[in-house]
Amino acid sequence: MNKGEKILEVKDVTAGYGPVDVLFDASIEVNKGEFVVVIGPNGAGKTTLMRTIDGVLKPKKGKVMFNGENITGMDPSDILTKGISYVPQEGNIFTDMSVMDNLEMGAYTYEGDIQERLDMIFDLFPILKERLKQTSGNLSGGQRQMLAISRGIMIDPSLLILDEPTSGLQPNLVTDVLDSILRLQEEEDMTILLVAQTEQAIPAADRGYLLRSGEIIFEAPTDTLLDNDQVMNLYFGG
Amino acid sequence: MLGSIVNGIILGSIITLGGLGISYILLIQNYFNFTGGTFFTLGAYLAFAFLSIIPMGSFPVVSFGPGLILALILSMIVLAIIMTAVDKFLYQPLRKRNSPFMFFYLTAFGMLFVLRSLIYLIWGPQLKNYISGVRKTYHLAGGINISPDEIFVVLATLIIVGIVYYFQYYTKLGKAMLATANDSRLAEISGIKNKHVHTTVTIIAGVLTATAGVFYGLAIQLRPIMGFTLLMAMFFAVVCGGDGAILGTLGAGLIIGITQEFGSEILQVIFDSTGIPIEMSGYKQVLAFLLLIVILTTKPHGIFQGTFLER
Repeated sequence: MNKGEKILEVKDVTAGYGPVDVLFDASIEVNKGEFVVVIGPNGAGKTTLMRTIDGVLKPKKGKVMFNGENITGMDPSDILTKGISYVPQEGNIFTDMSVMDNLEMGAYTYEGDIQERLDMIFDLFPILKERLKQTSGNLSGGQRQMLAISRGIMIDPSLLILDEPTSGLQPNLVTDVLDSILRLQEEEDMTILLVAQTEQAIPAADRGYLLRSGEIIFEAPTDTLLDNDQVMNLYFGG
Repeated sequence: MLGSIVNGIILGSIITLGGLGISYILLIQNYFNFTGGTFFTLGAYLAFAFLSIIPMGSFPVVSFGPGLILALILSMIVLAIIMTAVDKFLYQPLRKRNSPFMFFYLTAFGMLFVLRSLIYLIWGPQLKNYISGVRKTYHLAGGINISPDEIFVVLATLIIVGIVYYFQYYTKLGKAMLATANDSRLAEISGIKNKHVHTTVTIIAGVLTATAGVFYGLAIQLRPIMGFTLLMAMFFAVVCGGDGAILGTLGAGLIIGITQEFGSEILQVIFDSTGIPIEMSGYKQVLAFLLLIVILTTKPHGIFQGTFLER
């Protein structure tokens, strides 16, 4: 697949929890090599959208296409083998296991050279190499996010979905994590779909979607998104 | 007295294996499998049934032959199949519906009575043995009487625990099981299929439970309530060993085995000397329960958690 071709297409997806729908006819597209951000206030349905793409939630309506294949309703483990890796906002590391075990579990279905993946990760997040035997539940917040992202990229995914990876981090760590994500896009040729609530994440992306009350209400390149007064006033306090 | 400690080690070995079977189910499926004791009994009786069509043969030193090993392997396979079927048809639907854990316990209780009735129906209430006749016994200093079969049970248990430990912490599948126990949703999105893990765990539990049952039949004898009488001790090994801790379960299994044998002998001496007419051999489970209460009060996370024994 060439850079710029459509890799992910979410078409008119309605999803929710039990009888309550949270997402209504949401549609987004991600092209290969792109860094796309989905923004919106709390409760807008961002996480629900990501969970639906990854198969954690089965949509009630609509479909999810990946590399031209319909992956709607597939199990998360099968979607992973298609090349989509999802890093949830919470519960994104195995807290009772060591850092090394977490990385190994990230590569559970990977058939390539694991050492190569580890070398790449240690280059990206050198601190993890020093913490390999440490129980991951004892890591700091920033280190946990680094490990969560690393677990997600162990299988060398075509599309990496990150759900608020900078949530709760100090400003300097937010920059570090975003820089690392940009490196993954540029150096590893990874396509990134990121959920963000902080405006810091927006400039790093190529394009963004604004989600409100379960509906996609705006889609634009990130510079346009940041220039939009409605976006800034409504969701980031001006 | 030393003899009762040795007996405790033998019993503790069996408790450890049965406890590990229950521990695996608890670790991954999050409920205490009350049927574990009855599956233990079923495993022993299945081997007894296979021995009726397989010639025992003979090994040097011990009183059994290759027939018992073959019967044990067949018993492991059949029990693993039965436990997997029970899991698929009874517990899997409960997991799918996210049923309250009370449903799991009630199902396990129901299965306990069904299986126990079946065992009575098929094999009757009489005591049975794998080997007829007098067994060779070593009479050692300190009043220790131990048979080669019992030495085999202890050594084989240590080897099995070693294998399980290696599998759990050093193999990809073992780690995947720990990952599922830690966070099943994250495991699933990491590519670990929960269904496969549940099936693997049930098979391992079946193999360990059948082995424990056959070892009990070999070292002691077969009776329809053999697993039920050890259930409290097996729960002790699981709880006090620390959640899913393999070496912890071994340590706690040996402690409860020795406590039951040694403790009941000491109490028997005391009761005999005071003229209280109590036959302590019938109250060993009470000792297990009392020790469980003491440990749960003083060390609620298990005896061995956080020690050098477990990674």
